[in-house]
Amino acid sequence: MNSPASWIDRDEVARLLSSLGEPVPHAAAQQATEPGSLEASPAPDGPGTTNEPESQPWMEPLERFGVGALPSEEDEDACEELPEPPPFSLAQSLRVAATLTAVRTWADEGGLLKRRIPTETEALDSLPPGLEAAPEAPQVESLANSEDSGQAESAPTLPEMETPLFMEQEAATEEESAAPPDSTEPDTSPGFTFSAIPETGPDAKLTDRMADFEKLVIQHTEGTLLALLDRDGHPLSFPQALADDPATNREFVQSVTQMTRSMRRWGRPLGLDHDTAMHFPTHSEWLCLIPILARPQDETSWVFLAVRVPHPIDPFLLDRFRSALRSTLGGRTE
Amino acid sequence: MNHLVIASQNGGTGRTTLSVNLSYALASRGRRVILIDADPLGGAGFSLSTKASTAQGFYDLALDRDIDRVRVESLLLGTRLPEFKFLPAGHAAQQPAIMDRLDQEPDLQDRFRAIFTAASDTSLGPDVVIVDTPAGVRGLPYRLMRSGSHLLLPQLAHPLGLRTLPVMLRALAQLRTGQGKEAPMIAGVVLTMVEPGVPVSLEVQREFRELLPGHMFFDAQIPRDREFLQASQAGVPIALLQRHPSATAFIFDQLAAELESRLALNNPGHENEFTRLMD
Repeated sequence: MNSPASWIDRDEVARLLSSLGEPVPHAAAQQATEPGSLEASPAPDGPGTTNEPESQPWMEPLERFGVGALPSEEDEDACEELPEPPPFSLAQSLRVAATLTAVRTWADEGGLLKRRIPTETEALDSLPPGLEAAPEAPQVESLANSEDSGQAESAPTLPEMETPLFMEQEAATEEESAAPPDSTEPDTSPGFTFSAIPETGPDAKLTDRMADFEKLVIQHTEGTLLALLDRDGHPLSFPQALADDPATNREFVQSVTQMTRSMRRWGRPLGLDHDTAMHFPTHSEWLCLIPILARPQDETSWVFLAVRVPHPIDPFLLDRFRSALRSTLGGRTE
Repeated sequence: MNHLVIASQNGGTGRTTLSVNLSYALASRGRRVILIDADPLGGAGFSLSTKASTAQGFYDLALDRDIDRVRVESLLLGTRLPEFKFLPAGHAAQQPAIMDRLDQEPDLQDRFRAIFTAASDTSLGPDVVIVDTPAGVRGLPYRLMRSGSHLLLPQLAHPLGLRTLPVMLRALAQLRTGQGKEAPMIAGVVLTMVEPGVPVSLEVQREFRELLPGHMFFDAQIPRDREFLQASQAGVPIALLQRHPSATAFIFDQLAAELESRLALNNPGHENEFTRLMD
């Protein structure tokens, strides 16, 4: 897509920002990326350059998960060897093609998802047993161009939406998402980490914190908390408001499912912040997956807050939100 | 001293609208403000009064090498807010030959800086001197940018605005190269002419925020709104257009509050002084 920014020499922007002593956003330094690769361009010299992940706190987890290059054949093999996730009943009502189109469009428009997107065929092949794609696949363009901004009309219909979303999976996935034995050593790595979540007591489960998370989301991003998901995209919990009005968040929840499905396919998160965000032009809102490392030094303990935030998204506000999240969880601030 | 120069590489970004309304918002919040119309077109003056468009002002001062506080003070025009005074562009600004000659003066930016400093020393004791500039980042606008202590950069939420962003960045880098630590600081970028319901505008906003670090942006952004036309026609800041100001008018209050924070205008130790609503 011929986006306005495609006319800009992003390397020059990155270089100029560096010369001003300003940090360089990841997106401004991506032009040298090889087709199909997330590999960033060489960092320009100068103070404040944050082309390298370690100097950009919220990019740190990208490095941990190896995002920065296309998966190697070994990676692909490793992905294939991952245990097939359990089927989740919500998926039976998904219109997979529509969300895939949305992801692909988002990538074409300059989203940071510059890795290979599973084709519809591949995605359908990888669906859990019992999952079937809906017969027709609405195009995302029709959503973007719709005069009617009501989600109920523009989003695919989901006959089973009367059932509270994610409800059927909650008990099972809480167990599945239990991380390997947690470490008693404090995490010393930079990035988005927290102190260990107590195994017992009233704070034993992140899901117990949903009300706190919801308040933080509203307070710091004016957004809506959609759900808490484990690293495989399985929902752990969701706010009562969502259960009360599932239709309101239908399109976003579909997209959460699709995005996390991609994570599961690659065996790791696609990225963080803007990397794991999808813009809905029709609704002038963003869907973001906010990562939480539930147990320090345990990269398998990633969980995600699925948050719907107003557009345009402000990284500064998200930063403050993450700081507040850290504080609420009792974690350290690097 | 806070000499805030409002500059953009494009025309039509709403610099003058921003200058006038931001100045009014700051003054209505109790800040003492002098708005200098350094755009030879005199847009800010034309936005406020017929008197302002015919009075002596900034470029008349710039013709002199001896610039002092008393002369600057004598040219300031009052407004209905005692905290808000205005220095119009002046007669010289309307004389192309004089402006051409002025533009050749090697010490022009020193004169500009002297005027800003003198304005800061006037009896009003302004918290901030706001300078509206002509479009562009070469010649006169560039010299005005060099003379300020801070830069406020309205950016057009339009593909053209985004595509010309490197032009502004190059100018900023040149300022930094030429002046080092003396270069003006970037107070922030404010997106203007934002059209919330238009996908292209949304896309441009998103791409702006991907290209520049988040802290550079003000939370407030200025929409394209017909009320600005009405306010311009009436010759008033948008907050004075209606007895009960519209939502758009309050955007400048938010911008003013953010700017106060960025310029550290808040008085330390006074943040917790409040008056109870009852009892």
